[in-house]
Amino acid sequence: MNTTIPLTLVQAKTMNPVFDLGRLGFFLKRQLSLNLNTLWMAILSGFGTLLVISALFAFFNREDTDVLFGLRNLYLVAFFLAGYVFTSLVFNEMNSPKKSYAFLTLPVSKVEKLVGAWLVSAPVFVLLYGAIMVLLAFFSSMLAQQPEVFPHLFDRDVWICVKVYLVTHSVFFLGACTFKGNNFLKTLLALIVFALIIAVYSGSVGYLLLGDQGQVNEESINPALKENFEFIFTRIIPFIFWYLLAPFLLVVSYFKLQERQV
Amino acid sequence: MIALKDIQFRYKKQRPLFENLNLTLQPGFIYGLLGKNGAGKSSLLKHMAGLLYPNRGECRVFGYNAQDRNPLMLQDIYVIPEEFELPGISIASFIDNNAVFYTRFDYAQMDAYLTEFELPRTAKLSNLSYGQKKKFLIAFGLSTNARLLILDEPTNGLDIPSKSQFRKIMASSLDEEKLIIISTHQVRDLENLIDNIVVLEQGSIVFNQNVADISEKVTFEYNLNGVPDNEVLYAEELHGRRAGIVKNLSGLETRIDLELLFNGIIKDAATINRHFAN
Repeated sequence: MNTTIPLTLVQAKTMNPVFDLGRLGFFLKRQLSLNLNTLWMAILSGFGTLLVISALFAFFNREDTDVLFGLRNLYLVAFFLAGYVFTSLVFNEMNSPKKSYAFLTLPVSKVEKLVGAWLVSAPVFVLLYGAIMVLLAFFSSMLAQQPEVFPHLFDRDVWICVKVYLVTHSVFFLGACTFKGNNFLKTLLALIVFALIIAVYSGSVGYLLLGDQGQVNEESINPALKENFEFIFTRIIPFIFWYLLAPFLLVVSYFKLQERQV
Repeated sequence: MIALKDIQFRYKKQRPLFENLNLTLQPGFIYGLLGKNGAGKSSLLKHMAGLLYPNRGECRVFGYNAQDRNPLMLQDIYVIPEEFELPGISIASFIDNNAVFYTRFDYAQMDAYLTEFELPRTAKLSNLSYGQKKKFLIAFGLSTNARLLILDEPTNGLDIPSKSQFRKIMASSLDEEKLIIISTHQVRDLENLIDNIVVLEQGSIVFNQNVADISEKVTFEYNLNGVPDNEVLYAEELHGRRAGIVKNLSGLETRIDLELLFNGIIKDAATINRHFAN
């Protein structure tokens, strides 16, 4: 029996061609249904591995608080890694010529595809992983016989990590829209190349400004230059990172999606 | 209506595939897109579905620019490619998750096609044979009732009974709103099915004629002995005899031999087109 009723012609004609919540819902349902088995396998295998590691460390290092924080840090490393890999795969259907025709001709707008993929790989992933992390942390602290440490595991550092993920996720999101296959590795490579270029450029600028003295006496630096540097590193760069980077990369992702062909 | 205007296209680092290609297709007809391997049939179809963008020119489908991939246009298009991969979910689940995007999707029609093709709703798509997968896609595509149905080599992988079923189903699904384009190099599979023949050769449309006009203007002879040379538009050796395309001076409609017609167009489209222009 049919469980979903298609849109009527009248409804379809009055639909916004750019963004429609109903269509977004159908799109999310379709993506979830197509990838459900893979998602379950990934979640269970990841959860299982972390559970075994947690059990071993917590059991053999009872009453050692540092071990619990060490495990917490491991969960955070796994959070970033799993999140970036998952994000890189979010447009996987576009990478195979045998599947991409179906994805690209699906009657869903580019904005809806972008928003749908972002929702799944950013907030939904954070919530899902957060729930898994709470379970793992609770299990570890109980096994280590230190239940009182459990609330302290979710300190300010965890929230900073979530914020950093929500920003840096957009880099891998752009990689998912741009590359055809091996998106995670190609994005990583692109990041390394970009970091090298920045390092060489800033090294060159530093050399031009400060010469080859190596270490510089702070008092010998021109106060105006120092002030400028301070302003750039404490105001401009954090502002760009926290508020501009992710929206900018998402806009670029939209255009990448728009120019995508089979 | 589909209108391709002055399309120029080339794949990266390759010679141009289309040079100022122009083509207009009207609803209410089944078009047979014929061409040799590598002529660009699939690329042309991809342009119509907004899957490839022209370097120059414009492709408009029902008034929309195809490369915008507007969802209002896409819900009226269904593409069945030659090569495809279906997900590892059941037929029922696929229908449940994909039919909702198509406003005219008819579930009863889908059930009828599944019965006709003997495809159980519980079957897992990835476990079906290539032919069964193709039949499923054809059934789904027809059930969307999309105004534009694009089929790239649809009879590849179908057994003989399935080819007959395919022809029957395609013929019955056409109405005055729909436009069906079938690309193939197996021209015999399309006999008695198509209304218009479009031939793509060396980057442009070299022939675009209605089947009724073709059968009225030319005849297909399998022994040209006794036929005056000035009536022969194209001739070739066939099983030790000279067969060919001859001017139809009787005015009576004749049966079209698509293979012979295709060969004639590929060898000398200018002569045949000149005859149609008169």
